[in-house]
Order: sequence, then structure tokens, then C-alpha cells
Amino acid sequence: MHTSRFLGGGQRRDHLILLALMLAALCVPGVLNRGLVFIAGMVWINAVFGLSFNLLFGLSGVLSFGQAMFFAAGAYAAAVLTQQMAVPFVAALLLAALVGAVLAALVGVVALRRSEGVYFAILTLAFAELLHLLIANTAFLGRNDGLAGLARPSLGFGSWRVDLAAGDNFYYFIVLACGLLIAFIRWIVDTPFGRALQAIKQDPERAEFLGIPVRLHRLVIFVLAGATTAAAGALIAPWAQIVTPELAHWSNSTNPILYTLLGGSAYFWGPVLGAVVLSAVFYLTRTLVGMSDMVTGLLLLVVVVSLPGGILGLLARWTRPAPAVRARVAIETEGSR
Amino acid sequence: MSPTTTLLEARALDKSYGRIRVLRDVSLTIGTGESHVVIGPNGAGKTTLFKVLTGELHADRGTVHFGATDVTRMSAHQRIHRGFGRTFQVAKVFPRLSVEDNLRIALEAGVRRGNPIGRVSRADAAGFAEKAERLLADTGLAAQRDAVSGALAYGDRKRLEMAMVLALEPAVLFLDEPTAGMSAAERQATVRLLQQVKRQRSLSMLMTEHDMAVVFGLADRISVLHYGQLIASGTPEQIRNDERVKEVYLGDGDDHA
Amino acid sequence: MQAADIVTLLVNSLTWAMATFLVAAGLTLVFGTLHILNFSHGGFFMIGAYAAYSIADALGGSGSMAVYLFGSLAAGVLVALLGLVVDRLVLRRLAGVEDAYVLIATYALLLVCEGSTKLLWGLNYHSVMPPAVLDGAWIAGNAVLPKLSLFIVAAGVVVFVGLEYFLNRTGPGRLVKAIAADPWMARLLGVNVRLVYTATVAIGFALAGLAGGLLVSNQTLSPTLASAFVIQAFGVIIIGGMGSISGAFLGAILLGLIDAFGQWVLPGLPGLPFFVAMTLILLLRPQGLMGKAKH
Repeated sequence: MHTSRFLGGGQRRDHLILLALMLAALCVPGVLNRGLVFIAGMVWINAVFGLSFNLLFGLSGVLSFGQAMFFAAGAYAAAVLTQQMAVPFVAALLLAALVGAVLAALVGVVALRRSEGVYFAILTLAFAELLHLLIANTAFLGRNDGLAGLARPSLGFGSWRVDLAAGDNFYYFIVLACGLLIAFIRWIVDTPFGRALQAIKQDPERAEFLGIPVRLHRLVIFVLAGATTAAAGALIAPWAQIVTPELAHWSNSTNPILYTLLGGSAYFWGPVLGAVVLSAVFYLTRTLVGMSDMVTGLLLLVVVVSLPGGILGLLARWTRPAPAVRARVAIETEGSR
Repeated sequence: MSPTTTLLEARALDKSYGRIRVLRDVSLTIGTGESHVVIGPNGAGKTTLFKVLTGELHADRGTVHFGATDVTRMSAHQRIHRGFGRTFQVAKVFPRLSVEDNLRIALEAGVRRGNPIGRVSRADAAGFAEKAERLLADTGLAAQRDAVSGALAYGDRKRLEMAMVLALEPAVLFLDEPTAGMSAAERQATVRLLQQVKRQRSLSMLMTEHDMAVVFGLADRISVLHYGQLIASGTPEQIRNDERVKEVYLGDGDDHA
Repeated sequence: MQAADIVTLLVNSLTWAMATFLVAAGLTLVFGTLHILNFSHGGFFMIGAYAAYSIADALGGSGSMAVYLFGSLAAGVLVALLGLVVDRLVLRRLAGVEDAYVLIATYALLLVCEGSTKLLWGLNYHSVMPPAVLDGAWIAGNAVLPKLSLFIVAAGVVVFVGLEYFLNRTGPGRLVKAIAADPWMARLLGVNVRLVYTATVAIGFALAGLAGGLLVSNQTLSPTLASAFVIQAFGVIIIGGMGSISGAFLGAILLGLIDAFGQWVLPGLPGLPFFVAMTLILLLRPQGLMGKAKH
């Protein structure tokens, strides 16, 4: 057992890591071709998706099988706002996050009523499928074809315009936006609220009897995760330039679970590592048509059964002294008293 | 040391599970600074009474008043905000956090009072260090501040739980069988700790207990529960001499400590 | 609303109900005994359906009732065997692991089922003809009673009665129930709990495969079958009470009525009344109709 890695400092270190990642990401267009730049952008978006999931799973002990509904809600909200209502993109991004938050509030109020995780998991799956159904049956959302031809926006700040459709500009915007989202998520972890969530995860009854309203805390984190997930979804709309009901399909909900478990749910950067590794795997197997579901499922299965701590968990075990050594050290110090 | 004002008053509490009436018209009061022990054979309804008083369950009928406030319909965490504290039969702490971090959670919870976006001001945070020191000293855990609480010896875990609960500066402490599963030495240590806590912080306490030595060592007043009914309530002397209690309790056999 | 319409409504709701019950029965049996919620149950149902389709196809088409039934039974056996593999490779390794990880594992398994179905049978939709004997309908006055629907309802009732008999009147069945209630005690009494668990898993999966085979001509065969039925089955066992076969049966009937009624009232929004009903139950009586209240 080790002291939870989330609790306590390390924020400065993580800010440096974030900065380094962002700087590295900004160099990508100069080095890699168009196709890979696209994937790099997707990795950033998926990283936020995964981190949002881990706010629920790793931090708070809440397992949701329906995060795809917020991702899709954000994507569609951004698409409709920019394409059909001519809302400026940054505003659309914020509104999309708000849509995610509201949706999460509605779902959360219902789904968090039972304390057992299994009911919550089923309900999130069911609500996600409901959204999937509603989207696929709604005319102005393009039904099964979705909304295509989404333009990359241009941003105006007073007299200064930035055209994100030009060159790799939108990629840089993605890196910046995701960087901010990641910093926000990191900040949540280190607040009293974030620490209370960790406590709730370890013993909800004890937390309740310290005056921490457990259901309310879970609802709030669910709403926050819904908002950041929706924001990530909103970024996909102009990036892939198309949104389809597939985004709300339950198999899209497995992706953040896989990123998180593969990387290691006990570590802040776990989901990011998972997103990177998985994107690499998918890129390398892209020619094997129709394999993605199988690969995702099998990989997740293998990770859960054989490597639940993820890659970072494995690395941590290798770098920590073996239990036998630690016991000996303890006995020796004991004897010397 | 006789209690002067009533701090907690439970009136005519009734609770049933299905058709089984577990609590029948139970009333009791706890005064300020009083330590009140509820005893009774297994199945008498002690645990249910406990849960109803602390907010884990809601009574079917009856009221619970804390000072002037009616807390009958309040949830557990709301009662904690009003000044309740609760320890569990098997001590509950946050097992993967260090002793110090456990206290920090408790202290922050006390300041935030249930508000998810509640801020902990710089002044509060500065005060935590001092409060934590005092709590660690009072419970004898200062040397283990960095130990992972899940790995603590059981007695230490009980002390940590006590420290966490005290961090919230409660007015009344609810202790569920505080010496359950302990050896004679541990039991004595716990009794001493509780006496010390009571003295230092003039707390009221309500506890359920089986061990008669502990009961008579700590109680200012005792209430006896039998098949969901309160059959006697009074000072230890009064209880010792109560006919009904003798019939019920001593007829059943001794404490099963 | 005419009498004929009411009959149609009833027939539709009972058909939906029994179809869903056929899928949910195995799921709730495994949950009640092993306390594992197998998200992939719907996936194996789908594999059963596809397998039955292929078997019937190989044997000259599903027109013959004998072939149809054989296909269903064969599918049941096949999926039961798959279940044994899953038990060995996955479920056993998850004994004692936190609930969340078990859920994720079976969720991943569902994805594997969907993926392998797409790989083996492609993305196209298939329509399987019911056996000649079940084609068409009986006409009673103004009401149309499709023979296939009646077959499905009958199948559902047979499975329900069979399961209830097995669990309550046979030695092995009662053993399963005892172990579900108190595995520790059962071990103490020398029962080979592991063996019973494995057998229960096999039965649960067999039911999934069998359901797939029996229902193969009831709807279009497509890789989306899994998720549709997974959620329906969940809804039914949540409403009926997790772990209760009779609860699943009653829950299925209730939801079937709600669904059919909803389709009549709100034809444009399929599935919405179902979600509303599930939500209401979770808000008002979370333990389900036959479940034990957790206070």
C-alpha cells in the first residue's frame, strides 16, 4: 500500500510535464505529415476524454459506461452552434461544455440514487444509448449520416483575426485548448474537493460521517467530467469536420476506460499515456479492417485481467524496493531502538 | 459533574423493519457533558437506535432534538455539521492515506461543512497544523503521522478514528461499541482515552457497550434496552438495583465481551 | 380502441416480454449466484443467433421446424462451451477482484463479442425465415395472432417454468440457490462451490445461446443486436429485482406492456417509455419488484 499519489503536492511537477508535452506537440507539424498531425490532434482530444473519465473512476471511484454521451453532446452542440447558428467558435466551445454539464446534472440526479456501482454503470450505459437513439432519429441532427462539412472556424478578437482553417492552425488551437482543460482537471485534483473525493472513494461511509455529503460530491464531479468531456467532443467537430451518432455509441465509451486502465488509473498521467499508446496501436493496425472493436475489447480485457495497474503501475512496481527488502529494513530499525 | 442542560432529546422513537417493530416508543435524553451508555442484549435494538440517532436511518415515528433544533429528518452529514460525531464498531479510516492526511481530510471537511466548492482559507489552513499536532498528541499518534493508516495496529486505528472525529469539534460523540474485540489492556486504554477526551473537551457521549466494566467505568447514566423498549434509565447505582434490569440482564447471562 | 387492437397490443407486448425474458433469464441467474453482472450476456445471445442462422443455413434453411429447433439447441451448446472458456480465462481470474474491474472486464468482453461477430459474419443484415409451421398467423375475429409470436411466448413460459422447477424442486437447483445465498456456508459444508459456479455459468450462457437461436427469426440479424438486448435485459432485471427469475419474468411482462403501449402512443420515439419506466423504478423502488430492500 502506498500513500495515494494524488494527495498532496506534485502540481508543479505536473505543470512542467504539461508544458513539456505542449511544447513537444507544437513541434509535431514541422516533423510529421498531415495524416499524423491529424492523429496527434486526436490524441490530445482523447487524452482529455480519458482524464475526464479518470476524474470519476480513479479519483472518485465512480464507474461510468456512458461518457460517450457527453462527448457526442459536446460534438453535436458545437456543430449545430457553429454551422447552423453562426455562433463564434470559442463561445460554442464554452456552450458545448455547458451542455455537457447540464446533461450530466440530469443524468446524475437519477443515476446516483443507488449507491451500488453496478446500478450506476447500467444507467449510464442506458442513458448513453438513449442519447444515441435520439440523435440517430433526429432530422436536424442529420440522423444516421450526422452533420458533415463542418468548417474550421476563424476566431476574431476585436480587429485581429486568426484563421484556424489555414494550415495547422487548428492543431495548435487544439493543443492550447486541451492544455487548458488538462490544467483545469489537474487543479480539481488538488483542491479540498478533490481530496474529499479520494476519501469518498476509500470509505464513503466514513466520509459521510465526517460531514461530507457523498452523493452531492459525486454529482458535482460527474457534472465537471461531463463538461470537460463535452469540451473535448466540441473540439472534434471542426477537427474531423464531421459528427455522427457513432460518437454516442457505447463502444466509444470503452475508449476512455481503455486509455485509463492501460496507462494506469492510479496516476494522473495514466489516461494520457494510454491515449498515446492506443493511438499508436490503432495507427499501426489501421490496415486490418474491422478489427478496431476486437482489438479494443481484447486489449481492455487483457489489461483488466493481467495488468489492472496499467503501464505506470507496472513501472512503479519495478522501481519500488521489493517487499522483502522493506520488511527487513523495518525489522532492522526496530531492533536498533 | 451532573449534567445541567439537555443537549440531545429523543422522544417516542419507533422503527420497524417490515412487520418487526425494532424500536418501541423509545425516549432518552443526554445532557451536556454527560456520558450515556445504552446496554441491552443482542437484538434489543441498540444498533437501530444508534442509527436513528445519528441519521443513518430515519425513525417511523418520534423526534430527535439537538438543542433547540429538530434533527429528526436530517441526513447523517447534516447532523455532523450540527455537532454530532460518530465512531464505528470496526474503526473506519481512509486506509490508503497517511495518518496525517486522514486528519487533513477531517479538518477540511469541518471547515467546508458539506459545500463541494467550499474554500479553505489561508487562515484555516494555517490553523490545521496546530490542530493536527494537538490531536496527534492527545491520541498518542504523533510518532506515526506518516504511517499509512491501513497498516496501523488496530488500537492505533481506533485512536486515529477518534482523532478524526474530534477534529470536527463535535458536541456529542456517538460511539458504537468502542471496545468491541479488544483485549483487556486495550480496553483499559480505550476507557482512559475516552475519560480524557470527555474531561478535556467536555463532550457528551452516547455509546453502546457490552462490557460491564467499561459501562460502569464510564457512564454517568445508563439506559437499558430490551426488545426495543427502554426498560430503565438512570444512574449506574439505580440501574444496578433495578429489579427489571436484574431480571432481564442477569437472567440472560453475563456480558458477552 | 377496438378489441382487436387490444389483442394486438397484448400479443406484441407479450412477445417482446418473452423475448427479453429469454435473454434476461441467464443473465439474472448468473448474477444471482455469482454476483457478477455479465455485460457480455447480450453479446453471447447475438453469437447464438448468428450461430443458429449459420447452422440452419448449412442444414438447408430454417424452413423445417426440426432444423430450427436443432439450430437453437446447437447454438445453446456452442455458447455454453464458449461460456466455459470465458469462465476459465476471465471470470475465475476475477474472483475477489473489485466489482468495478469485473464490470469493466465483462464490458470489454461484450466488445469482443461484437467485434468477432462483425469479423465472422460481416456487417450486413440478415433476415432469417421462421420455419414454415410458424409462418403466418391465426385469425381470431379481427385480431391477428402471428404464430411466431405465440411460439416465442410459449418458449418464454416453458423456460420460466423449467428454470423455476429446476431451482426450487431439484437437488442441484436448490444447491445453486443455497450457494447464491451463502457461499461461505456451502463451502464449509463441503460443497464444491467452484464446480457449481462453473455449471451455473454454463447454464446461463446456454440460455443466452438458446435464446439467440429461438429468436433468430424474430428480428433482423445485425451486429447491433447485442447492445439492444443488453439494455432491454438490464431494464427487465432491474425492474424485476436482480437475481430473481420470477422477478425477471414479471418485469419483462410489465416492460413489454409499457413498450407496446408506448409504441402505440408515441410511435416516433422507440424505446423512450422503456427508459422512463426504468428511471422511475430506480427512483421509487430501486430494489425492483421482487428484490430485497437495502436500507
